[in-house]
Amino acid sequence: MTAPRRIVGRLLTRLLPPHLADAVLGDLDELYAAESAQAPIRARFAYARRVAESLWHLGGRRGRAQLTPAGDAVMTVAFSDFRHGLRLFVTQPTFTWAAVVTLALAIGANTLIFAMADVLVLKPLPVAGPERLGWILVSGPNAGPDRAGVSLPEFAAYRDGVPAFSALAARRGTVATLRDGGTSERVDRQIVVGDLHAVWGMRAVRGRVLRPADERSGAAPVAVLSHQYWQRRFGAADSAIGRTIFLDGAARTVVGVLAPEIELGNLAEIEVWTPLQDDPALASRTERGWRPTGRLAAGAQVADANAQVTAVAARLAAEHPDTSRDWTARVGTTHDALAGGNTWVVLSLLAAVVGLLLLLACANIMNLLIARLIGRQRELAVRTALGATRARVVRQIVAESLAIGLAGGLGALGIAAAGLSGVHAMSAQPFFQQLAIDGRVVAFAVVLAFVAPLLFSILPTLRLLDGDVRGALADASTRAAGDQAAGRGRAALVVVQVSLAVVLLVVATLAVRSARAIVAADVGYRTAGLLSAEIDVPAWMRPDEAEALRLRQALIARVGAVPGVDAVATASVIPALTFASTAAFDIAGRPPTPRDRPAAGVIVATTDFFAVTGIPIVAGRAFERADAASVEAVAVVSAETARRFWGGAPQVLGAHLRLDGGSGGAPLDVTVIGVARDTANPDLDLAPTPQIVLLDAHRPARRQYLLVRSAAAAALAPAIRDAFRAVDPDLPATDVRTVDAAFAEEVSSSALIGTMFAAFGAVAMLLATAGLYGVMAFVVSQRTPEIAVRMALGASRRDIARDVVGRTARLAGLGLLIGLAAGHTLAQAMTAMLYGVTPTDVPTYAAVSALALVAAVAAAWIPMRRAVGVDPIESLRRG
Amino acid sequence: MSTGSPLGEFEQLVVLGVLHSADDAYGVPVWRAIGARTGRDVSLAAVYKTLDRLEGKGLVRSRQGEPTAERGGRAKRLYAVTPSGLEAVRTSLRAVAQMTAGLEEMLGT
Repeated sequence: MTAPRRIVGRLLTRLLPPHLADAVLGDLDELYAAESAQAPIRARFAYARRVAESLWHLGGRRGRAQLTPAGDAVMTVAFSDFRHGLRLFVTQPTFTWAAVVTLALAIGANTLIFAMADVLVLKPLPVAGPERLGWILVSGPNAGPDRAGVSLPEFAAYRDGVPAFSALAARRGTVATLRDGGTSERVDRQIVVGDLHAVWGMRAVRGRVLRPADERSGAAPVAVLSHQYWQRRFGAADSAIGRTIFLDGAARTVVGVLAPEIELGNLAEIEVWTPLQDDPALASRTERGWRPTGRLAAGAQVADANAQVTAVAARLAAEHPDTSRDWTARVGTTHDALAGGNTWVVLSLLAAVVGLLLLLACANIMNLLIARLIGRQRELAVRTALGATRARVVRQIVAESLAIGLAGGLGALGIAAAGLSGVHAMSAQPFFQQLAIDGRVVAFAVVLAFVAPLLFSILPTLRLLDGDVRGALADASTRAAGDQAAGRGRAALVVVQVSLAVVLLVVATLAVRSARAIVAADVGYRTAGLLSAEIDVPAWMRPDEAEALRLRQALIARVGAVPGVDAVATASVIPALTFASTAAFDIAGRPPTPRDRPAAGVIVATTDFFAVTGIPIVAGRAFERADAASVEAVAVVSAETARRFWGGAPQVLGAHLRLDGGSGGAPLDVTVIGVARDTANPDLDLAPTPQIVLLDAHRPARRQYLLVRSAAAAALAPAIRDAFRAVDPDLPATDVRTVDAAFAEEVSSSALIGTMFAAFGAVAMLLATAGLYGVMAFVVSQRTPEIAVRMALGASRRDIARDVVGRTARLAGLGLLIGLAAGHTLAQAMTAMLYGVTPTDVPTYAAVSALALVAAVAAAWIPMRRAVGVDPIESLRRG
Repeated sequence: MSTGSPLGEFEQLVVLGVLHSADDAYGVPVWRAIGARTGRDVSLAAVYKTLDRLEGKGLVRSRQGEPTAERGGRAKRLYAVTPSGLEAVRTSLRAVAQMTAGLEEMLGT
């Protein structure tokens, strides 16, 4: 309490009348000393309240006939101006609150977007020297652009073939079962190859980070814990170091705990880091899960590394066409790697939208201020005539604006907080969950709260300084609807407001339509009433493939017996949601094409896969029980496979093909028995790719999804977990949820961003309409005497309406044209994030134009109606 | 000053508070006296503001007291009611008394 009191002391000494400052401060101290002995906390509140009261009642009051030093005078006058600004909330509530709410909405929107940008762009990155890092981003068939990783052999090729990197390391995410003492749980594990922790510049808070020596065969098996896992599981105990844990059944010694800075975005979920040690299953050329990061060698630039990496990727594609054809790689910067290209587009757009929103809000408030100022012209003229300096009048306007700005900033923080809790509720993705209102976000809102008042008060102030306020006495009596310059200013304001609103509406509408298209996209099968759970039978648990298969079959039998379950299957993908791994094949009876072999995504599933998912068979038949029992392998191919490699569904039935084995396994000869309808590509931007469905019995896969069809899918989760435990207590049931929920989470970002654009668009429309109404109401009220005269001279209401509304419509039309052009330009920049709608979508532009014109005409119509209803004599008399 | 403007209601309370606090009439005792006797939650700052105004009208006068440790070494400002202040509060109270005479039953005083 001492330090705050010292500050308070200094503040009060400056702001209170000098002859009272000491007495008041002494009294405050005395009361605090007496009260804090009894109730310390209450005493603090009482102290704070008394300080505020002292400022309110006594602040800015110069001593009676006492001269004060110049500095104090400035402070006290400024304070009394500010207090005058605060009083506006009582004396002019409508104007003040309208301005505050407008500003709070606009600053709140900006604050929300700043919180997003802060996490993505501005926060110091958790890696050392991020500008000296290059991230190898891989694109290929069945994987979205930049979304794939490399295989271990490819990693070796990049490590040896890219001299622009002084060091290259990679990580691969997997899920592991961690047993410590009696309990086991699934953990998010990262396997590291190369000196990744050093490349990223990570430090340990306990023990050490991983080193390349840990990778050597024969090295003691070690693990490093993430900070959050260390806290959660080991209670941040030092004794965790040196402890033996079991990861997937193998003992490892914990040697370190990483510093928490790295826990950002998806990295926040990592629990355990281990080095790569002799794992042949991970060494295959089709295991593309490795994400490489390189540190640039001295003098090398990202562009150099990019050229070398691209060249290595091209060489790999030529040398290993079976596995690497159509795979390309590039080097991205740290920012590229943190978020995909679309993220930047979306973020820039959101930033542009909320920036325009703020301009719109400022334009509105400025208009209110000007209207009020003109209303006060006589009063101001009188005050200046009585000796108030013009500077003093200007200072008061600025102080009023600042009071509005600060109140708006406070409201904005509330709006941003409410918006954030909405965001948290809508998407469980780590990026969105991470958003928070921290000191930087508050600081941003405060800066806007000071900047916005400058924006909206500078023009009115300049006008005031410019025009001879004393001359306004005469002007005010002639009332020429403001002078001509003011008329032009208002016309410009109408145009600006309409064009800003139109730009915002175009962008918002396109984004909303796109989000709706993504959410409503047809995935090609019945996702409702379908429950999924990950089933991963690791090699350490069931070394033999046949045993793993029996475990899955036992699980299917047990789940099938649960009341309410209609059908059960397992599959290596959730169709249209997860990607299938690709395999090349040869078609029997056709000459082999070593350079350009056909390839398709391979889905491993059980007999009832099609019955459970409801993917329709368009030719031939689905799997039957006898197929799984037979040694003759059969396949159902997707329509796209049949079309691309056989020219159509009928031709493919009965075809024989030889499919490459995965992970170095033997090739598999299969006969095509049916053709299924295509399901959507998990990357919604891409067309469906060829898929081949095989039976688990013929080509087992350790990591699959359990798919359960039931009318009460959502309620089944506990029974499914019980079934997992019953077949093997070590078999964890992961991600048990309805397929609809899984899709909803997948598109939650799109839905969320669509909602944000919709909300900003709605606010923009509201502000623009309110602003137009404000301008028009003012213009019409100024013209009421003129209208009255014209009507008295015989003009019909229709003439007046045509004149007033027509003028507004012309201005709005001009604003609309500008807005449409600017909106179209912005929309071009949005192309990458749009789905199911083009940047030149005609219905969007038509709807926006109609809405803007209707709003503009309505904003002029209502005040005009009021004006023509006025009795001409009465109106003239008042004029 | 007997011809001056009559005291406002709060001004009366403050002048009476100063009189009650006798020799040690600075902000806190005056404020306490008003709070204790009227049960009204008035702010210390309002008391000072009023004292300052009364001093401007010549109804009270003030002098600087001794600094004490519990006050962070800051001096008190001790107030006293001037003769014209006394006259003003008498006038005001008399006016009230004259106006309420005969209404005792209705007002329950």
